[in-house]
Amino acid sequence: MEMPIEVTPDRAGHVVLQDAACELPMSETATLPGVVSQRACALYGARWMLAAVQDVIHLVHGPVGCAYNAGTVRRKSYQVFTTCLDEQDVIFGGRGKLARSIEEAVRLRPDASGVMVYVTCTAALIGEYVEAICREAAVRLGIPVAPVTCPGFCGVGQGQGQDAAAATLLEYFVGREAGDVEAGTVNLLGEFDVQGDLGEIERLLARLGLKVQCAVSGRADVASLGRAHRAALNVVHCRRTGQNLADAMEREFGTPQLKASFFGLRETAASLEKIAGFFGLAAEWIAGQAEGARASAAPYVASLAGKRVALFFGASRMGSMAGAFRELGLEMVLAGSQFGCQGDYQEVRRCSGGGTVFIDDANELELSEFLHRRRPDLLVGGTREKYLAHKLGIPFLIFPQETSAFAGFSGFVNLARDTAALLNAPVWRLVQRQHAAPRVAVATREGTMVDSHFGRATRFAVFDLPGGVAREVGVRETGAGDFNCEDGSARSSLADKLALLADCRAVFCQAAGHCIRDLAAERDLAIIETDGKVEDVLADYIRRHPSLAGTRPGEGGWKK
Amino acid sequence: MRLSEIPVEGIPYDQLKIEKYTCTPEYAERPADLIPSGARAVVVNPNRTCMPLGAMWATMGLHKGIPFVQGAQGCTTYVRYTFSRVFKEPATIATASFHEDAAVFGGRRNLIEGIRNLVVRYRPEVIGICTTCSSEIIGDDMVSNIKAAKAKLREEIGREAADAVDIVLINTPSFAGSHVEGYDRASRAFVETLATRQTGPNHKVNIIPGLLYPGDIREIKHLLRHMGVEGITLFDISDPFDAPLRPPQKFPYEPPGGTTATEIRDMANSLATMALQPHAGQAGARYLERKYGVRALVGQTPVGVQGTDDFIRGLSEVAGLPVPEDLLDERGRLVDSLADTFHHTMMKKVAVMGDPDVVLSVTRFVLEMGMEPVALAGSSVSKTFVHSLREIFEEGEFTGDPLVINGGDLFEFEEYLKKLSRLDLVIGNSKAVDIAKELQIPLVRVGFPIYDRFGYQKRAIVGYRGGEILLADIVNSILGYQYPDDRTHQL
Ligand code: SF4
Ligand code: SF4
Repeated sequence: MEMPIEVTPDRAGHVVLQDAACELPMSETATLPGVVSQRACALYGARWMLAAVQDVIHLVHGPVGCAYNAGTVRRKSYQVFTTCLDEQDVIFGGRGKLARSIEEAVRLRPDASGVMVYVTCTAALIGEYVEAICREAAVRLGIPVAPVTCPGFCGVGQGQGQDAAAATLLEYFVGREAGDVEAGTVNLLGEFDVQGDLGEIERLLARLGLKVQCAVSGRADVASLGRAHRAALNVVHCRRTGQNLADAMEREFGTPQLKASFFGLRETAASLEKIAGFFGLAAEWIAGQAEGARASAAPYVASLAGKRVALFFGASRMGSMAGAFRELGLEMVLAGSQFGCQGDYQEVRRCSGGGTVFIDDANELELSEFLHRRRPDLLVGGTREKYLAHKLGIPFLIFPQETSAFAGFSGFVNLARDTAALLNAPVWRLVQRQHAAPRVAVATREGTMVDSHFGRATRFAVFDLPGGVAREVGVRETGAGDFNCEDGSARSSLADKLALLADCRAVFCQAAGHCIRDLAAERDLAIIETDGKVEDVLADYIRRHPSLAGTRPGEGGWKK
Repeated sequence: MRLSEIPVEGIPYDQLKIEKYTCTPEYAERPADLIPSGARAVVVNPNRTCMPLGAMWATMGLHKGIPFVQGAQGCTTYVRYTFSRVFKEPATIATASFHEDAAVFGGRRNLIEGIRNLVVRYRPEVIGICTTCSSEIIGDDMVSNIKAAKAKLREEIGREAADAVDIVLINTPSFAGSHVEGYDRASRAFVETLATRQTGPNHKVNIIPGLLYPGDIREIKHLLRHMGVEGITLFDISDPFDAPLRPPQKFPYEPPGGTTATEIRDMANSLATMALQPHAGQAGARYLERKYGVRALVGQTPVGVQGTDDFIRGLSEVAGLPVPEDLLDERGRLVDSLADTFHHTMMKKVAVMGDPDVVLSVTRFVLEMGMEPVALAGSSVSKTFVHSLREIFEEGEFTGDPLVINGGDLFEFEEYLKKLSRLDLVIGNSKAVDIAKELQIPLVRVGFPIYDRFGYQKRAIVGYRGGEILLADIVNSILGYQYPDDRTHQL
């Protein structure tokens, strides 16, 4: 298996191909300037963590753009307040604007139980002492006014902002209410309640007799955060966003913690059993539920057998989803993340087979090259990757998901259903060229066997496949033989050869070099490496392209 | 002229209205002194975004053009996210990836290495360098940095290849303006940097569309075609941001179309420049006029009958060509539609929000429909907004006294609307969705951004045909909402 993308020297170590002795990719280093990075900034990370905290005022201390952008999190709009720093503020400092803004915001929303002040790049650069201003305001207003130190240039991506957000929660919100540990309660850390995920998890926990005290931050408000330390257990659902909080709470309040994942049947069952074990609860029903879900998902899973999936996530989801996709029977060909840590990659390695490519901090170009070369059957990622995949004709599943809950047992069935539906969507059939003749070429010397290397071939037999029936239309000969990839000078003769096959969709040959495949791809010519009898190869091609059946002129709807 | 109540098909006007717009019970009374945005320091739900977005938008409209954002990752990633959500297209935008060291020592190294990395990887023809708040505060000397970056590029890839890449600097510190101004500055920066010589008349007309959608730009081209005028569209996002799914794609993915650098150079030779949004693109048009005497025609976006009339008149005048019959037919169809639906639109109270040029042109159109604007909110502060509105009111013989917000926030707009005793329709972008929901009245979507519905970026509201689409939207929204159940089949 060779590396499907070019790894420039400055990216060495971040891109690795998994084989037996493979190292994990290097991670958590700064992005190269000038690349099209899929990473975001600390403010983005902080908003990811905190936007859903309900009864606080979210005040972005920065210029208008940061605030406008920060209003949307996981494709949802939230109310944002902002100091909207302008030129005057930049030149003369915030001039008390922050203090005034906090005060006004609280007057406008007297029901708020706290204020979070997000410090952006601009605010950090003009060098205001935000903490002091917040402290004074808190005293005056009698509610917590908490700075979140998340200027975008901090750290390598959104991770730093998530850490800053966790620090803010701990310092200003968690554990403010006095009280003892309440038996049978848990916190979910790193759970954002996308499309009802939280409800699914909650239902399962309720079946164990457990109650969710606080979900950070899918369902969190000042009161539930204040009580969070009274939970008997912290369940870390996402390492990246939950682990810090769990560690600190363990240190400070002695809350025990447990890492769990509710994605995939095996993980969900194992997690529930772990939790049940912790509380000493009976949990026989778990295996049964998992089996039930497996049976419901079976028809979908059957249609996914052998398909190849490429995963590209922010950080920790990569690890927890890898298992779920494996249970769907998909082969993972790419595990990529924006800012995952070694632990995340380790987790994903456990679920990967040989030949998985790991790309840390994958930029747009690398993703695009991977998709071009490997053509996975599905890419999983976020909004910024979605439309690139579609332009290349590759089905795409978006995360955080848009349709239904993916967590828990029934969530897995949803995931199976959505994945199968996406892969089998009619549109991917329609993407094929419909108006060109369904014509293919075969590199063959005698006309009976596929027996030539593309670069060396001098004879191509050309076939039309109307209505799924192969009909030879002639033999084309080329002068140029013996093309060698290393020798770029021969590229033009290669271009002649490709031009000769300009009207073909696919060419069958024994083998073809990299550069040939690239040039062919630009020309919409699929190179299929194979050997065997020409008629078998064509029959196989026809069988795998059912849409050919409708291409007979005068058929497929319009009758003459 | 004010009309009193006219019964519509037998039902008195006020009975047609179902009283739906009571506010939700949680609605709390806010302190009155804090409602106008001018009276407070804090901004709640900003209505505009930042300058670099406009400059990135512009650069995305160039053939093999890639924006390079001199700042931290967020300023870029957020915009890529916004573009992808709005256009449903990939958006290739490079970032200088500022980290702590850049914040302390400046972004020179990031720019030099960044340009190199970008060119080696993507081989763009044009790079639009957008500065950000951070780089402007740090005080990067961009002109000298770009020189150094070019020198480095020559070293690495050779003089010829390096010089084939046009690098254009656009200063876009966001604290000084909005996305609208960012586009405006880009329009000037690109013509100033690229159109450096006048070589001889080309008999073309430059079009600077402003922040219009691909569908709108296609409609403008349709009008040019029918007029028989050859145009150069600056920042032509119509193909890059509405690209077909037609594999195979080249690697790296290269969006189709876009204005070429050669076309921009040729803009100095054109008959005239028509800037379709006074706030976004005027600067480029004025520059060409000052420098080369290329006439600048700056008018309202051609929305509705009179808006499009003005545009066509201007076009016909600069090109010296008559208006062809088929465009007169298109006009006639729009006028016919107005006549056919007037009884549904007349006297309906409407609020319009969005970028200033959108609000101005749409307001003019709703007056043509006999609607009554009650609140008009322009996203970015403008020196001419209020005056232009007054002109539109005069032309439309409109004597009402709507609330006019010149650059305020959405909170102010929303609070005002909640106090109105009656409002039938909001016209604006997706940022108004929550407001319309809260008030329980329909929203007709126009302008940027629209991310919560599909297809708006692909169709036009400009031109006579675009007018019919927008009119239909408005009428159907009113019909869908206004009629009691037993009258739902009436039109
Ligand atoms: S407002 Fe300034 S700092 Fe914020 S996103 Fe825009 S350019 Fe970046
Ligand atoms: S990188 Fe800095 S300036 Fe840009 S969006 Fe993030 S916080 Fe704002």
